[in-house]
Amino acid sequence: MKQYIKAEFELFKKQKGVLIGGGFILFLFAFLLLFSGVGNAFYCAAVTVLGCIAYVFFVVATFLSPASHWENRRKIIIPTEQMVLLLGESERTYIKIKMIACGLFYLAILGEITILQVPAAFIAGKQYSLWGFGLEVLIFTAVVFLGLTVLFLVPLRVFSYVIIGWCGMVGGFVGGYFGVFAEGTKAQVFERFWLKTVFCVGIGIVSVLFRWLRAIGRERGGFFVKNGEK
Amino acid sequence: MQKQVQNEEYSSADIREAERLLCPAVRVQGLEKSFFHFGEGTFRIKDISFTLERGYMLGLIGRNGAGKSTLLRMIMQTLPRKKGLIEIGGYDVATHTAEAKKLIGYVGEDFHFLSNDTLRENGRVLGLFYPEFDMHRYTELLNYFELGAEKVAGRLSKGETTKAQLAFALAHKPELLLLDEPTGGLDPVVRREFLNVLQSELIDERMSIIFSTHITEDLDKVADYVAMIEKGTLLFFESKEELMERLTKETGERLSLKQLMVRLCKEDK
Repeated sequence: MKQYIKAEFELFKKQKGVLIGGGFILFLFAFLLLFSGVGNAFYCAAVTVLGCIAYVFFVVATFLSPASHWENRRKIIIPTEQMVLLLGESERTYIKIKMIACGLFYLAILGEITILQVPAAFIAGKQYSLWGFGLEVLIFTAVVFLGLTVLFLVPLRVFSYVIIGWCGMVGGFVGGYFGVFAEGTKAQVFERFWLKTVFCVGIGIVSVLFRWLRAIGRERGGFFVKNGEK
Repeated sequence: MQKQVQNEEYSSADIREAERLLCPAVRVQGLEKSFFHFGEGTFRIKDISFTLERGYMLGLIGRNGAGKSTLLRMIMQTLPRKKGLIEIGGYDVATHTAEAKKLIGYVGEDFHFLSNDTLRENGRVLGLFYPEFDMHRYTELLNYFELGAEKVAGRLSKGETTKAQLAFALAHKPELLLLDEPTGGLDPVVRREFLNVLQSELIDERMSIIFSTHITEDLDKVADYVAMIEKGTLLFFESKEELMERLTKETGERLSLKQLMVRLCKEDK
């Protein structure tokens, strides 16, 4: 397992372009977060979307491998899953590592949001309220868990098409609230938003669990089968 | 006292490993799978069973779409089976998936190197997936195939990619080598080199090979057993000598594998 994590990390490190892009957006996100105490609900939401984009960059680097080939003058990028399954790894281990990676990225960006509240509070002074922080956490959590449904359920051969649709959906989901953000205070927006986040977390967890159980079933030759025999 | 206990543990592990090495290279029993394609109906892999002992090469023949690659992918566990048992080197893939898969080397169209990196870097990174990957052996095999380790993988021709894949597959010391139409894009000289390497690998009787190909002349030279798949069904699985003897008796003429395949396909039509 330890060696497998090392091997997957090497593949992850090879995605230099994506990681530099993600790092740059993460830096920009951190800079803009400093002023989240001064900004209104709309500002907090817009900045959080930037954090979500940085998250997508890092996650994509783990789901798409650095291997590729040309087919009909089109560059086909090989999904990490296809690669590691051919390289002798079990699907269960692959899913486990992906769950850990997605969780770690989520916690890292959540940590960044939390730590940056300290300088943001200094800059905002008396204007600062914790509702802005809550709103950022809610939006980020909703988008991340909604993203898990795509990452764990969609076969990667149609990934590029689905990811575009997913971005549109999330854009609509978050964007639809921009009007609401403009209307209310941070506290009012938080009140309207939290239940939707709980729903997103729920379907994200269900998707990951479904994929995990499906992997077990595929390897055993049926979920309720022991030792491959029926 | 503790040392003695440790010694006993080591020896029991050794015994387990020795017992595992007595198991066949691959055992497939009652393997089934079905696909549904719109407009084309359902394609079924029907009740495939065979056992291949260590140190032998099985030639897998059959028409396009007969189910050869599907069978190899099911053994590789990249395609789930509906029913059946697959054991590789004594490991049941259902319960010991990773251990079983670590024993497999694969050469086929699905495998891709990191295109922007050199073959050496590919070996270093992808070799991490295998506990027993031998970088020295990998470089040695690349040199044997006249492929420089500093060549960029994305710039290799089809034949060179196949040779690099074989070098990689052999470097992690597999017990079962799966070859999915590997010689298709190779010129006759390289094909001979390729087959020579395969034959030399079989000498120590540790490794077995399943060689799926259309080029039956290759199997005439190197295969110990021959199996034919037609429409998802295993028509036969026999040692090459027995098969030839049987066919000579039945038909009264000495057939090559190519003639046999053509005749069986015609009969099926």
